[in-house]
Amino acid sequence: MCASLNDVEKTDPYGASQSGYNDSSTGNEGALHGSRSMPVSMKNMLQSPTMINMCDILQNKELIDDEKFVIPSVTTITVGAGFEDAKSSQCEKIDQKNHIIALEISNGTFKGIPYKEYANFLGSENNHQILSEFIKLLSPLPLSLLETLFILSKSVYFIAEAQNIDRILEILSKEWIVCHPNTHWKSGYKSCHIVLFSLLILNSDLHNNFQVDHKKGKFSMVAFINNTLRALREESEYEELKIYSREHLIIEELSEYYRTLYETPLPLFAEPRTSTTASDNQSSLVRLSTLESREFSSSNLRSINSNSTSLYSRDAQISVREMGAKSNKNFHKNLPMEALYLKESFDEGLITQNDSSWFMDGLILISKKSLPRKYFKRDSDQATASKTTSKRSKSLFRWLKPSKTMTLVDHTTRKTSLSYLSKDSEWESVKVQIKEGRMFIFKIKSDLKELIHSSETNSTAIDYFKDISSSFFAYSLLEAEAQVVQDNIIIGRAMKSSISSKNGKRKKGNFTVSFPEDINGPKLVLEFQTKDVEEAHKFMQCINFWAGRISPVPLTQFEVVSNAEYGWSDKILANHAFLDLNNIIVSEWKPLLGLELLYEETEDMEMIKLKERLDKLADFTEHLGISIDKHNGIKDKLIEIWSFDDKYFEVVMNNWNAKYLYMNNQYKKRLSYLTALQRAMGSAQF
Amino acid sequence: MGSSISKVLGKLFGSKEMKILMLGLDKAGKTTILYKLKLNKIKTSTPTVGFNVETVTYKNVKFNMWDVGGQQRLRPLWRHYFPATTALIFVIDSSARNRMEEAKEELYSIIGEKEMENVVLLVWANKQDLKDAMKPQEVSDFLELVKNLKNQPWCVIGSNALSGQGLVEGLSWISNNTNVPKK
Repeated sequence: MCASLNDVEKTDPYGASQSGYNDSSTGNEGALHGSRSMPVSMKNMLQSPTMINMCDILQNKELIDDEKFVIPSVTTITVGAGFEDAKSSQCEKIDQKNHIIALEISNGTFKGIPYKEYANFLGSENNHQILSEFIKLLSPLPLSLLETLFILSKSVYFIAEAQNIDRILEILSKEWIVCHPNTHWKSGYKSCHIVLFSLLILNSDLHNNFQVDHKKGKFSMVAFINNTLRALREESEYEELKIYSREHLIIEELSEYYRTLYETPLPLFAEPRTSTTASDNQSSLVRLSTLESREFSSSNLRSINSNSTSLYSRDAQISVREMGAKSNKNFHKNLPMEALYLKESFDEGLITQNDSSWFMDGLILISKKSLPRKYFKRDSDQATASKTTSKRSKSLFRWLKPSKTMTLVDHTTRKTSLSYLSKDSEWESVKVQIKEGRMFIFKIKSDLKELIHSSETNSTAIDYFKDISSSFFAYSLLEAEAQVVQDNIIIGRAMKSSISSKNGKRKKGNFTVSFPEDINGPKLVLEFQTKDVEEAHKFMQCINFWAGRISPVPLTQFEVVSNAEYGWSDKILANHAFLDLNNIIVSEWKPLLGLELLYEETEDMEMIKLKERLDKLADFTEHLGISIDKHNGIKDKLIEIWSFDDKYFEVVMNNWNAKYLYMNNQYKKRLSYLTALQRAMGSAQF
Repeated sequence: MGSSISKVLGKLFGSKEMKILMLGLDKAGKTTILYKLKLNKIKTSTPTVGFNVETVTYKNVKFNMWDVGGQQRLRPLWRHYFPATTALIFVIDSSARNRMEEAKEELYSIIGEKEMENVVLLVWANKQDLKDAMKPQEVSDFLELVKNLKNQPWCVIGSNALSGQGLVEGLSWISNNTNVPKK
């Protein structure tokens, strides 16, 4: 009942050419005639929607309207008749539903999913029935397979996964065989399927600007024909049905297709006839819809945030470390920033409790080297840049650069040293807040500084500080690490700079926070000074707690299985005496870059429970410890094996060192995360 | 967004000219990977009817990903793209143990092609987040790479296309191993 369109006696506008084309006795001549006539029909088709399509559209319109009213009556009749098998009526209902969806897709009115997902929807395994209905709506199909593709790509937004394209084209080719049973393709729908797929590849190849190998260029006609023929010949049907006996016709046909497609790309279904962007009900295609919603959510976010003038705008996070700056004075809406962690029930009270692993807030000193020098310039940049994100990120870089060049060029202070060790270090008072995976630094306006010193510095109201700050920075603590300087450097006699002149005896504390090198900049180290060592430890604990909580454990790196030879494969360690080491290619060992490179994509960072993270970290550090021991253990043997050749020796030992350093750094960092997490878990109530 | 990915690729591949082909059985997670890498957001030109062809150009790096799939009879058609491939990425659903054999056959049918003799092979043992997922070592053992691939660098990396785990690492491995030093 659903296939009414298809069952109707078709008027085939291509009937004339078909007879000439199909007549096997005329052979070559007929085929030539048929293919020569094709560009003409193509021309017709491209000028305007074909009559078929117009008819379809009209018919569908009516049908869809009709059926919306018809459905209830059908049901009542069925129920009323009583004799009808309930199951079959159920089937009919499903059939009808499928038919309606197919019609809606064909009309561009299907609301279940965005129109750009129609093709993926149709090609999905579960929607086989809908797909069949949809393809029937395209019938009668033109004689030319290429034209058939044109009709398809004009009916639906046809960019999809290869798998789904495959299914759609398979049904299309079956339908085509039904429409044209007497061509040289005989009943070989599989062969037609191959040709359709090949044509689609050709279309992407010719018209998508992606070619990597310029020398080779795009698909040539010969390459296209050979490629298609090769696939055809591998298909058993090609032989079984003796399609190959007409290969010369096929070659002729393919070359004609090539010429046409070369001139005219397949049209992309442009606009849905009515807007379908509002997807009220989520589709059953869970995976696709997640992809879609992901896209939507990020774009929605962007639009929301760009409208708002909030400090927490997403734009401010354009730069990798989220150095969100005070973008506008009149922000008052406090939109939440994207969560960097999975919030759990116990977090609720803790994240605002000062002086804890969850939250630190205080007025401390930052080394001036860590801060930008020219605030005013930067502020003015900011004012102009806040309109466009690209400019802003540039201005942020400009901000970063001075501090970078300073550390590199400034030889007056010891190059690698900390400001802590230098008598001449200048410190500046800033408000620092560690909160929910981020570090906020407020540079308070100079005229208001005194006010802050005297008044309540514990105030956690970010808004207040935003208002009185000339600049504001937010850093994500992903892969960051804090260290208390006094843990590493023990100085017998306190240096002048580290003694607070006012408070007399209490020894100041120092800590550093290092952010790893990432895509937007080199490694960054910020240095802070606190009123005492204890406070520095608290900051360290809080920073490492959050960093450990939000940073994924780099397990992948250590689970890689590969045949790359760095000089210490089992094969070499065990059998080096029997191997010709001169023939072995030793690769350079480098740590693999990790996900932090994609840091901007915080919206889908892996977020796991604190307890789970803790367990993973514990496992990881334990294994890493063993690996380091093992790595140490092979060193002597490596020296023994590779010392026969200087070049090999150098490469292998460099590899060994590189891996050792990498593992050691990882171990140190993950251990400090682990310690911080354990301490936090120990202190809190769960 | 786009510029950041270009930066990532620039960082990963430097000035190397790359042609990367990504293949795998259906549902292995290829498309999710493309989405996760945000490669789909790069393309500025008007989209072309047909396949998810993703190309990113950054300086000399041309990163080209095809979502290659389909039934057996369509596979020979992709062969056209095998020549001049620098690296082949093969994506495996590590949790689909019942399809491992199929994946293995597919992999060897591709890597067995003459044009693929010298490619660097990266296997993404995807869907590591799923409980039943095979570990990279298990996948590697199952695929018998040690036994069968002796002349080309290969590597199996566990990945989770949803969280992004292993993705950058994989590309990074390709980059590290594409210009294999002679000595």
